[in-house]
Amino acid sequence: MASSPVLEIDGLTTSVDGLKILDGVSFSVGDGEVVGVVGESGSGKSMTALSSMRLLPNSVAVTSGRILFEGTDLLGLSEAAMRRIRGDRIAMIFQEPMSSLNPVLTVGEQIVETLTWHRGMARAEARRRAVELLDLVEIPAAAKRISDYPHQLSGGMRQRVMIAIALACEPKLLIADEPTTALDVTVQAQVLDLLRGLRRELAMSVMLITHDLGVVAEFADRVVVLYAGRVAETAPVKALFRAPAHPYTQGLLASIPPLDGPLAQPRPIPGSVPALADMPGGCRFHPRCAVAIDRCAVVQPPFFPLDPGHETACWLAGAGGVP
Amino acid sequence: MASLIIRRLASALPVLLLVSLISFVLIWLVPGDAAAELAGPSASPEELAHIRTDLGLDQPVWIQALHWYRNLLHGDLGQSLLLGRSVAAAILERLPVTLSLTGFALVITLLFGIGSGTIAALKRNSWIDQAVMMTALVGLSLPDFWLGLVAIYVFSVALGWFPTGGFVAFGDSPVGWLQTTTLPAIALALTQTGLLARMTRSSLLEVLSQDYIRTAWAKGLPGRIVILKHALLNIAVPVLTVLGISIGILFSGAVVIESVFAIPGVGRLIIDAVLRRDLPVIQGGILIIGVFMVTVNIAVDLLYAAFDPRVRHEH
Repeated sequence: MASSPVLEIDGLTTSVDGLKILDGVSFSVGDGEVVGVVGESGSGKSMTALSSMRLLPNSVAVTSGRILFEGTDLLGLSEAAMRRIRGDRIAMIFQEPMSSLNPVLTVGEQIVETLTWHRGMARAEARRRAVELLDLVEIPAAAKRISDYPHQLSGGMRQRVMIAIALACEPKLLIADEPTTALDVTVQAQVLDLLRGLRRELAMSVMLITHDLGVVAEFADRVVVLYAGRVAETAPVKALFRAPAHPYTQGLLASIPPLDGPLAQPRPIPGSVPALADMPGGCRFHPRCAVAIDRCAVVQPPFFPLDPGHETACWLAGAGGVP
Repeated sequence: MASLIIRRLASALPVLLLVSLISFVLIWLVPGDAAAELAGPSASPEELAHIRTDLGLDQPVWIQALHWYRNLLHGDLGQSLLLGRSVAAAILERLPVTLSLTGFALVITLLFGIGSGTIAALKRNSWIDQAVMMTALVGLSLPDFWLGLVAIYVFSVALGWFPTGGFVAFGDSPVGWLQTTTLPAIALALTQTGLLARMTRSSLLEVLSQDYIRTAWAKGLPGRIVILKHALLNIAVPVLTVLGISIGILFSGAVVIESVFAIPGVGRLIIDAVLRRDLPVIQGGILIIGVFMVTVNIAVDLLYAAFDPRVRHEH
């Protein structure tokens, strides 16, 4: 991790009707770093991403915490100031390429408007830049495709257009919310390759939201594992796969069938993420945890550092014996 | 796009043929002998014979039909029995009156329907939203002729702001035109405005929850661009659908409103013709309304394609 992080989320807590969705989430994204944020649905991954864009639904309120972007607390900015950052310094791509593009505007227009708005470019210049961007995301015959409407493109092509829109202003931070989940497996690999190349080329930091540990293994430098609105474990990607410390992380890893080695039955974690209204006390994972001890049900575990950059919120790790 | 226009025009032909056939057959739908009905009980046999010849009723049906269509192609809708002039001339003279009234009502409908529907959607569940939706519901529920009568009583008789009726052509005096058409246009437009406001609100609420609107916000675009460009362009199709129906209702609603406000338009012409059994004028009136509806429908179809690329590419 670089010395000064691009994004630093510090004790972020959000709630709906008094129920906490995120509870003290803290992690940072370093300069040029790709941080994977993983967890089951309902763990608060997308909520974390939308909070960083200040695009939470009206029903969700940030009750405490800070989101520092290049040292500025985004939560303290006016809406107008936030708009200048959104789409320019921080850009986001979404899971659903089929529905995330406006069906009545050409893909060119949807890129051009970002450039004219944020960069004050003349339309002709913005259009030239849009063709370059479509080239950059490897869309063939970009100069022709620019006049196409979204329904004339395949899902993979649309996600490339979404990426082109996000990269239009060369953002410092790209938030990618399940960017490949809705795509065919072969297209997934292509889009992931593309993102990896672009991130190097443009020296971006990336917050990669996904439930897919395979994507994390391929793309991320560091991983943040979320469970029920809390961070369970943070680790460099290699350490996470080699020595997962939190029983939840171990469960996630055990639930994917190995591609090499002896064929073993994948073991899913029993139960499911608890509902917001009845979150268990203590460690939120303890009802599903096979190795829980008495204290887990009562006291929320703090973070125990294991190695540099590797820490976990589990009492067993604190007891010295990694289970 | 060109092929779409040609296809739409071609598909309108059978409809026009049917409308003209219905107008033609109308004369046979009058119970008993049309000529005797027209002439009244005190008519002499000579008068009866004269009317029969005028209407061509002494000819075989196919000859009559042939005449009807041949005349139609020449723009000849026959002679009015009572006005002493051709039906086409009578309609053409009054068409601008009705079109200017309907057009004014349409502008009111568009402005206030889409405007208030948009505001209601953006201020969802606030008192503004509730006030707009309540007003729209009231507007929807009140018959236009009743509104017209109340408007005359309040604004013309009691307050004296507007004349109680009559019509001044725009070309003669724009101010006079505004004075004579404002009340009838509002009375005519209110129902359709209410309808369009509700339609706009519900379509917009649906669009605002779409992923591409979230994308637009994520680009950092200001609210006015997100709403006016990204959201409103996407409600064009449902709004146009309602609008196509509304324009037809406005045009035929003008028939009643013109009578309430003593406006000498096509509507008044048709009502007078019905009351006085001026058959050729009724036939011409039906035809003109039919042609108007078909034209509006073609226009709406073409506008669908203009607003929505997915419709455009289907063809």
